Amino acid sequence: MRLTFFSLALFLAAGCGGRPEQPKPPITVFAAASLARPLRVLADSFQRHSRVTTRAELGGSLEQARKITELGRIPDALMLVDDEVLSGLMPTYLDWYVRFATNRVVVAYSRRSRYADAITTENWYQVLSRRDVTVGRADPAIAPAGRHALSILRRAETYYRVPGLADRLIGRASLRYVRPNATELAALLETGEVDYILDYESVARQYGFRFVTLPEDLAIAILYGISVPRQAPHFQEGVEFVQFVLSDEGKQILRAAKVNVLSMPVAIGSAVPPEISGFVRTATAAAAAR
Amino acid sequence: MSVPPPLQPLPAELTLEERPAPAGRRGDGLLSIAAALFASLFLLFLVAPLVGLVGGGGTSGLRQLSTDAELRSSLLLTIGTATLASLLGIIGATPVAYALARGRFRGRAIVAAMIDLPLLIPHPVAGIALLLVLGRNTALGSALWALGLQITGSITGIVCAMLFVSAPLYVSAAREAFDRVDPRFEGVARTLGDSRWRALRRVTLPLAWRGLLAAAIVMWARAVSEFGAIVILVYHPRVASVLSYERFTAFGLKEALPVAAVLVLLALIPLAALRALRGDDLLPSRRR
Amino acid sequence: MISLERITAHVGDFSLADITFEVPQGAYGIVIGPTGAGKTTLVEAIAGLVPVTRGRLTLGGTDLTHAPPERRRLGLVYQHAYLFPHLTVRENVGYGSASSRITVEMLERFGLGEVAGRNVRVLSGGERQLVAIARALARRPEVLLLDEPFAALDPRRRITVRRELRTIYFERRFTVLQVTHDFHEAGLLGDIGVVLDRGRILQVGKPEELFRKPVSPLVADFLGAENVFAGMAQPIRDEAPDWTPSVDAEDVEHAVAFTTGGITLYALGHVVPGAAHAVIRADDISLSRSAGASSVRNQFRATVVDMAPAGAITRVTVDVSGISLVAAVTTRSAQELQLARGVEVFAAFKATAVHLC
Repeated sequence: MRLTFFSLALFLAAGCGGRPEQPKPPITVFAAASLARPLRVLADSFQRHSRVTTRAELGGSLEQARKITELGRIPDALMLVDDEVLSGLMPTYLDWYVRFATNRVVVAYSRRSRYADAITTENWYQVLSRRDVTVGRADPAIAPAGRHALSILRRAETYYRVPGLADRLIGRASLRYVRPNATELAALLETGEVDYILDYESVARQYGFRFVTLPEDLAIAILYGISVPRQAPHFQEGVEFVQFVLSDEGKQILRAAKVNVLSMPVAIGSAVPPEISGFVRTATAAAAAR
Repeated sequence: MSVPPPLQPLPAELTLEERPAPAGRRGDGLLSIAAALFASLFLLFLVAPLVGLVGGGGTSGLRQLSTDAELRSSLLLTIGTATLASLLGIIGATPVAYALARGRFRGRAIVAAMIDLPLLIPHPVAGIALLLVLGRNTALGSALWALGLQITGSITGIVCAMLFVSAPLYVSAAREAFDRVDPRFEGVARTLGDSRWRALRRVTLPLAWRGLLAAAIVMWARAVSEFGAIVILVYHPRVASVLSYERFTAFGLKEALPVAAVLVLLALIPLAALRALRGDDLLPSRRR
Repeated sequence: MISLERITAHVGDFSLADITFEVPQGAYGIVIGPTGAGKTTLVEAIAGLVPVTRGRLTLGGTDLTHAPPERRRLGLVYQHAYLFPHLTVRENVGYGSASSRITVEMLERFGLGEVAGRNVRVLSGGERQLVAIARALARRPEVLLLDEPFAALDPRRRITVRRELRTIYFERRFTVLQVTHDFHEAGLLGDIGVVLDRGRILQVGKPEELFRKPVSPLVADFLGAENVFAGMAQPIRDEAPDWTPSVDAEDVEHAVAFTTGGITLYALGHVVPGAAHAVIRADDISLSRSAGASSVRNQFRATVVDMAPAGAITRVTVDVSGISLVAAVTTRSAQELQLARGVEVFAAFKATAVHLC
């Protein structure tokens, strides 16, 4: 009696594993954490168009790359910050990628931040060197945003020709307030634990933080790239996704999320799928490496 | 006196003759086999990844201990803060556990449920919750700051995060330990002249301490492994969990494995020692 | 002494209500009741381990209703000893005592000298109870509370432990309150008996009184009265001069005719005419082979139905016109009279032996 019940249970469990006929399998997208918000909307709209569900995994761009190279997990699409991350994945995993948006590091703050009413693009470095100000930034070892922030703080000394500025700024933006990702930094700013954070403009806009931009020579534009790995489990659906992102509707969604979209995305590499080549302007790999 | 009448033979249905074994008994044997199989698989499931971890990174991790100062200080920091958090937990949470075990106050169930809540919260959210109460701008936080304590980027923050996520585990287990000591022992001690406190000290604690120790071990282990709540508050200095995460993301598996493997190996020592200390249980199985 | 006035206490869903009785200084009080009557709760309330919500508790003349247990100067022994498992025999006995001399004395007194240094886990049941008693008495309390102290012991141990306890009780003459569900103990031990059921007192009095004059059939039944009958009681208002009392007063006992199942018993008592119960103890019934002229009012022809010898006493069940009576006679008498099943006898008992309630 018990035996029959047992085997019946097993049988049912096995039966429940299989799903009814689904038109298309879901795809996995590795994306930079700063693209969290637009990605959700992109996924929903894409689902409505193609009936393909998107599973997004967000994280620092470097972390995402590690997942591919170290853990052997291949997504169906990638949307990461460029900066040697994507070019580093060529040619082993990628034949091509498309630069489709830019971002830049800004100084974000809230109503409660010290000297919130006084800070401007011109005096940010003076505000941020004050003793009673605390500044958060991302970990340079794992997030490009962190690397950029640190580089900006260092180069500010020569840029503004103020000796000792770099040390002071890095002193305010000390290790105490370094965090792995934009999420933790945003939490620190929202709770008032830090007065300012150095993060992407898109992040500042998404969280509704106030921000001041930095001089263009200092805060160099960062490029986002999108691609489909050669070994993607669902290559065709991945390409469809990229196509959607680069379409007018996709770009609209990105802009609504305050991502600065390139009007004409640039493709780097070769063997760009035909579905995508119509949306991009190609450039040789040599021209891409500035 | 009259002779009692002879005994009648018992009716057939009342005799204890051999009856064929009920069909269920064969099923019982099969069920035992299935259970043993699942138990072994489960055990394997728990142990195999650890063996893989230690096998993969153990030797290089141990070697690195002598060369890698950052690794050494990270491990020391982790074990130190976890131990400090556990001590604070024992001091603060033991009375709570005792009150829950013995007290018959209204709302006891609610208090117990509330204490379990931190276990349910996603870890980063727990970190944020602590910021909301102990952050720079809060009343408590500024009071702490006046004392030179800050919750972000310091040992204070690490200990707070560890304590928050691991103390609830201690409370449940410690309460269980107190529950196992029959309140009548305390009652008898009181009739023999002990005040409540004295009875607690002379009778309850000696009988419960092994259970409390086991609870403390669980709390310590949980504190050592915490990541999500800590990383919100404190990224530098790095505890072992944060270090292995950072090394993985920045440099890859090969760099991260040794950190995790060494942590497992080192943590084994105090865990094993404490478990050995427990020895025999004096309490009778719960009755009455 | 122990004095309870309208004590009320609650434990979970159970409550003791309106408990009032007194055990005089140096007396041995017994609380009898079935399981679940609240006997342990009562003991714990007196000890201060269960809070009292109403009423007054006086021990040795001091109002201790709300005093903490440690200030009550009493000793408590549970059915299961509750010896501290992490301590030795000596440490247990000396737990509440200030003087090691007294501890040694108690150990010797109860014959525990040999096991004094050993952990309590190795002791037998009887030894455990002795340790528990020694522990309670080492503090020289004025009051000793015992919650079914012998119930978990085998009969031989029971005798030993009981004897030790009684010896020291007679020496020291502290006040004792012992709880039991065994009514034989009550008869053998106590000065004062309290019958408890479902948290309420049913009757208080000397054990003698409880046995012979139970206040209700419930009490009678619980105290092991073998003969309890329901029937109708009617005061006798005969024309015969010897039956009519000269004064129709309330405190004079009336002659009562009690009818049950077709037979009529004569009893003496104060009853309202109507439905009542009659209680006759087995030891009050005597059997004979022939009817005699005696002062016994109740004599009935009966047939022996069953014989249950138990040592020196035999319980003989006889049938009187369809009603069973149990008589307790000496086994020797039963043999001499050649009592056996089917034998015709006469069952007799005095009117004064019939208690009406």
